Amino acid sequence: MGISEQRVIQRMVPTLLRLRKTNFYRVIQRTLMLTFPFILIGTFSQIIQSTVLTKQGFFASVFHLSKWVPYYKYLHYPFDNLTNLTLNSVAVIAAYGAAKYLAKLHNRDEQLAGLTGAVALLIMAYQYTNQAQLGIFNALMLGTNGLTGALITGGVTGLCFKWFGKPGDEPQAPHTTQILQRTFGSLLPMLIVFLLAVVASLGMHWLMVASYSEETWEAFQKFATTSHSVWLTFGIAILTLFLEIFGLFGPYQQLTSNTPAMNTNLNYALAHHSAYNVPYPFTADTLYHAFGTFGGTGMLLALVIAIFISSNNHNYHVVARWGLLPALFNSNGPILTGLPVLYNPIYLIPFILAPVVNMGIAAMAIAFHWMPPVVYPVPIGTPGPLIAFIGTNGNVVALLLGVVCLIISTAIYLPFMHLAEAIVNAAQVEVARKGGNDHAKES
Amino acid sequence: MLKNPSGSRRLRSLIVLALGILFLGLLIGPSYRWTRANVTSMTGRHDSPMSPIIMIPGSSASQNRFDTLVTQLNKADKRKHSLIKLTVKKNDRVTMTGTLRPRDNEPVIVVGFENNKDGYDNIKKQARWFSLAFKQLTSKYQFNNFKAIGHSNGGLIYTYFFEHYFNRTDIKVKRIMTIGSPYNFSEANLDHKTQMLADFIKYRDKLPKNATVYSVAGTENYDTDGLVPARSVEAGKYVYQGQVKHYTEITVTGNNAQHSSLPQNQQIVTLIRQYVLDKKPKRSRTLINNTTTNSE
Repeated sequence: MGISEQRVIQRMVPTLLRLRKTNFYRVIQRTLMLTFPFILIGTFSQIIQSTVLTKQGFFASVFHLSKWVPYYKYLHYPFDNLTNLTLNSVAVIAAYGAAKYLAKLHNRDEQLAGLTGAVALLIMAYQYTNQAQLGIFNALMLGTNGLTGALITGGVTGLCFKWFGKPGDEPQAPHTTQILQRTFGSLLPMLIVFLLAVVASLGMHWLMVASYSEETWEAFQKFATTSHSVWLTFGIAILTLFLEIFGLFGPYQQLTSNTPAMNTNLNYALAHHSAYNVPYPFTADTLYHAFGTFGGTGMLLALVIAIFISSNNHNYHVVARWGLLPALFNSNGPILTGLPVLYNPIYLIPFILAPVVNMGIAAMAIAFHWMPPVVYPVPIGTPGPLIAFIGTNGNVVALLLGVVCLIISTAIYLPFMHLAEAIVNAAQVEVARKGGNDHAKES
Repeated sequence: MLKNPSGSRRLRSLIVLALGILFLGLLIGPSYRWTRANVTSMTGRHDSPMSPIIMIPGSSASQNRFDTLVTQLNKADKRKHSLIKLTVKKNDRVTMTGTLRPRDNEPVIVVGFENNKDGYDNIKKQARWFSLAFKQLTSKYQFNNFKAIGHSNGGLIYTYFFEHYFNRTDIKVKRIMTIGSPYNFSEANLDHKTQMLADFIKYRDKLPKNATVYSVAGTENYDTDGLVPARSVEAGKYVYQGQVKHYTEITVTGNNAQHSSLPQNQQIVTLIRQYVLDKKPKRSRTLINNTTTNSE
């Protein structure tokens, strides 16, 4: 196994290395790196907010924090604020980064390009209201789910600067005239970007009004979360995972509570004093959320463990160490952007495969009555391997199955992690071979 | 930047991993205790046979408003419903008097407010106060369903409460009866919707879908009970009709049909017995039925 794995990795490295060296991929990677610290801080703030300072949060429930912590009601405000302005507005930073790095590649005014990209994104996220008051921003476009849109916005901004701007090296000894010239050189692309953004924003609003897309989406999401056929559950889980590795919003992302199927299950379990034989054993809640989201979407807790036990890459270890605590509480932001996993074709397979395999195992265990399905309420931010344990009222088999799923997922992630590592190493070797000059430029 | 982690770095990662696993391991115990306690309490509520009748009096009335009604009910029903009274003070404190008799599954609970003034702003405040009292009731008594009766503004407070505060999935309201509730205040013309009625209509999709609702109007002449226009009571249909399981309008005339006498009106006491109270468990009847079937 080891030798053949090595051989496969060797064969794939050159192709993937070429992909890695394209401008497109380099811009994405640099941009994700730029967002990483914001996401890291935001994620820590968010897990404190959701597990400790929300009444339904894991620590708050298990240790009854709301009963004895003084001023508990008010403690979450500062964390709300911090989370909203870091994690939930990270797309602005991504738009800045993408525009900046692309402009830099083409020797344009990177600072103005970056800021233009960020403002263009805000223009598009601005929501027009009937009232005279200031509109609000569309949260979906500014948070982590807006990353893809932000990268596109930034990319288009960068391209506009490339096509319509004037190239110019940064003045060595900045005189006012030179700076002014450089600024005016960027005026045309800035105007074009803003105009495009306004048109796009109006277009999106028109589309939303004309096609009721929000309602259609809500209806679809409702359909998805209330489905209780096995195949539909698996299909939508795969769709969700696929969308999310590309930074989009999947139908299963939100943990919706109180779906009809869930209520029926809970009532049945309460009435019969047993969770076996509930009417809907195979739903998003019993399979996907309970067994497929350890460490957030894509079972990234397994990737963290895979890095801990067998990575040789220093950076991987650093990111994994920072990402462990959030991953324990199902926040995957730091790992998604730090390694990165987002937009990374190498991780596409395990990102989808690991959760689906776990769901399969869980479905089998439920079908054979090895354990009851998850029907009881689970606090927000419960660590992945404990979700099934809590949701089955402390069933030991469910706990063991959680651990088994984690081990299997780690095994699934290991070879892909090795491949990713081999590519990073190959890239580093190449850079080192090119000599000191290029190396300095690269970093 | 080619740097392989030295042995110590790798060791550090493994220590972090071990700490993480230890951390998870330590949480198993508390998690187990929490979910056990949680499921036990949910089962308790689910299995509870208790189904109180919760009443809200109208403006300028206290928690003692329904004393006569309850006496009449008990007399007619030949059952002794316990009477528990709650008062919510202006500073959100809730006081409770009265006790639940043992084995009484259908107590009458009356919630009054220190500030019992009229007006939409006060109704909003009272709805919030009621939600506090309701929360206290749910933690003290394990019931999974209840019946709601609101007299006059009490019905409006209930409507606001159901639209904005009531979001329990483990407790449902089976039946709602509003008695002489002016959904359009003193405005008799339905073309002139008050702000309150407009708001009620706006959020009506939040109303409990499975509740059966009765709106009782009293009339002294053809269009008013002396205080509230019959048209204003009738406006309740714009709020409830089509949103809840059943919406029934009932008009009572004759003796004691004046607005403030409605809770003592003999017809209304009968209506409450018939429509709101749970049916008596007919244990003796079943026995007789059994014997008859046996003998057949």
